[in-house]
Amino acid sequence: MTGRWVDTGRAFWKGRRSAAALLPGLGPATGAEGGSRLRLARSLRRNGFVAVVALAVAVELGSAVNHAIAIVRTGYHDLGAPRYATRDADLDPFAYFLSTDALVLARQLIPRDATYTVVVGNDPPVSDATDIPVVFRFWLAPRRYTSAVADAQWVITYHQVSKALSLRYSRQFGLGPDANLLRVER
Amino acid sequence: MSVGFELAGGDALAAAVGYALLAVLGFTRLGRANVRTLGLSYLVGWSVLGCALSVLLIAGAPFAVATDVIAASVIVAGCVVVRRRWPVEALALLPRSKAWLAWLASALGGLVVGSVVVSTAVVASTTEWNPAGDWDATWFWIPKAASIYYAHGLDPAAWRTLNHPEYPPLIPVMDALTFSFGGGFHPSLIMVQQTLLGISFLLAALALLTKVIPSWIAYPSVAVVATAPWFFSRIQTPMPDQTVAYLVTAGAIASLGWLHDGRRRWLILALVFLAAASLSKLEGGFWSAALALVVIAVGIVVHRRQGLVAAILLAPLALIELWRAWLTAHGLRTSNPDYSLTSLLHPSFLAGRTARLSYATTAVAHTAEHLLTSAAGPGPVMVPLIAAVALATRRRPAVAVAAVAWTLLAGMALLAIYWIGRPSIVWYFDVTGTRVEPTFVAAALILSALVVGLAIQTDTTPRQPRVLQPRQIWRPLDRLATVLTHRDPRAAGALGTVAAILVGLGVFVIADARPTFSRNGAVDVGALNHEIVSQFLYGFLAGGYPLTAHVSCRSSSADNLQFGCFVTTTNRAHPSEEPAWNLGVTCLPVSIESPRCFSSNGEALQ
Repeated sequence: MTGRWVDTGRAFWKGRRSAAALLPGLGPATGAEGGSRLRLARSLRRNGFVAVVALAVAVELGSAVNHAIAIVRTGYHDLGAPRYATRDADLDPFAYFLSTDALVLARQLIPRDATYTVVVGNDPPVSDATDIPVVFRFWLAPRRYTSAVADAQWVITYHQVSKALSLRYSRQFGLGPDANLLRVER
Repeated sequence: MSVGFELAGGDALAAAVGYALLAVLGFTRLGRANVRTLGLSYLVGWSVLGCALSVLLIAGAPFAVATDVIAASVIVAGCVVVRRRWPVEALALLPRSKAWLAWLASALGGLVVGSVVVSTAVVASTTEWNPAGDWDATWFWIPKAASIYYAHGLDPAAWRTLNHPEYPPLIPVMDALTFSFGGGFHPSLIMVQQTLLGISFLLAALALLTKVIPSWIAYPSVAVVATAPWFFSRIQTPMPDQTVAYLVTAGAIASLGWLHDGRRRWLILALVFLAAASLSKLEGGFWSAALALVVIAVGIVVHRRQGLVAAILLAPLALIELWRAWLTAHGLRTSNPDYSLTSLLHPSFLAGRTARLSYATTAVAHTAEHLLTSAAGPGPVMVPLIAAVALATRRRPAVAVAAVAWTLLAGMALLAIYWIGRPSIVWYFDVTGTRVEPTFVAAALILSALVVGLAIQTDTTPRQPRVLQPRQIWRPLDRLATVLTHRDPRAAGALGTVAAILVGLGVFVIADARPTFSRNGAVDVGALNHEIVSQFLYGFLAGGYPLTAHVSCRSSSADNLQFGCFVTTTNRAHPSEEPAWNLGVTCLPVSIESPRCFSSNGEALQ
């Protein structure tokens, strides 16, 4: 009985060198302890594990190659695409929210040490009224933002009629079709 | 986009700092190894400089390019001195396998990672970012960086006007550094830097993994992460979540490396990554602390007394405390108004909110499954990967137990935040879940490769536990050590299985307890008080009001479903002001799916 097991194991691992050449660790178990049957059992267990790991690695590689094709294709497609100037890349994304011209002009006109606020009206209606002040705050740093109109030296009105604010202002600047900038008189 | 060459100088400085530290620790040496560890050098240098600059700014140092250069020079000089005085043998790569299938797997994995790196760089140079998709970056992360850049330091007045002032400063500091090297306030350069950081993470993961596991296992697993849709599509994002994922995953690899071979250099590397993660975002601190606790516990079991050295991984908590001290000194709030960790100590409050836990558990599990299958393939295809990890757990129990325990602990920390959080659970998870969860999935994929790779090696067994002396104080740990090390892998497998089942059952029982517990019995007045504090006080805090509140509810009906609640508040800035008002609360007899109680001003008390 024992001999048959040993024979089977030896036959299975007759080409030991070629099996190990496939993957590291693949091959019969070695070691002094235990008999032939134990060695065979250990070999099968170990080789089973190596086979499972190899299968897992193959699956990983398959998924990775599958996804990589699309990524490389995108990269290749973008190879000839135009590059943005840094300033354009800074500013263009905000066109989603409002006219970027308003951002640029406001930055040019409001002094760096001034305090300002943003009043968003509804004429014509604005879909995301809360986003507009956030975008102005993002772009106008280090100018100080205040939520209180009374504390502001400058007021940006967005979709808002300036005169309706009952503010005394010394000057009004147009920031494009949607916004005005008021210099408040104190 | 034309990126200025000025940035390259700053990045080279970070890489030099990282290289110096890696050389001291013996992770690299002059020669070809430098190229291999370029990504790792950058990630380490970025982390070290980020921590150093954050601490310097908290201490009041001015923010400037000169500060960065001086800090980098001091660190490099220190590393040179240490290297000369205490030379360390360089950690060698594992010998490359001559088996042709292994070579093929390594080559294919390397090709995929390389092509993704090149493609990512090309795509990053031609695309713009999406402020609407990364709204928090537009709202406060980048404005914080702008405030540091313009104020030449941490300006408490400016910090106070920005949302979430309590979030740690490392990310804004490094973004401000990008502005400094980039020659002005150029938000688009942050996306370039983030892409570089993402690429360096991939290369760093490869560099670390190939120190301990065969490359034919390391390369494919990193390739899976690199090509995962949720990784590639967010590699440019200026949000800090992806960065935290890089740092925490790298820290986990290094920590498990120490568990594997006991070399302390791994711990120092892990410390650098975890410190940077803790100073990047609150979640980074939670996950770093969870990792430290797991590594200390398993480390003591595996390495005995020497395992205590892993307590160094708790050092990032000191950095967080330093940041909190700065916030306190300038009258800024120190905790996130969306939740209070002390709520976890209020059982009846937690019991009344199990519907949130139930929702979060389902949502987290569903999202994790989606992320995993989108990265590695549909469920059946993942069976070999799961089987390989399960089999490896029997062969390398200590590392496997640590990896699984940390992943579970980190996941439970996330669930706990959703459980006690103030915002509506649906909104809270929608906004944060898909940003935060990829951290676990990326870490799980890479750590699974580490566990499998360690298990498959026959000739690099970890340090065996030494023979213990009788009556040694660590003797009680010996049995557990026997289970967790090579002496009895079957017992380890059984223990791991039982532990996993118990944890799973525990989560299930807690999450599904709502029909029978606290949602249909008498309303717990203590829980109601805490709920009102949670809803209102945190709302005030989020609005910037430094209030503390006390709520006292009393039943006003025979059926105990109507309550009158007296709310008193104290303004910490003006202690003489103590606004107080009464609030009516109405509760339903039974409510399983919807909030049970509502305040008289229409607030749903969950």
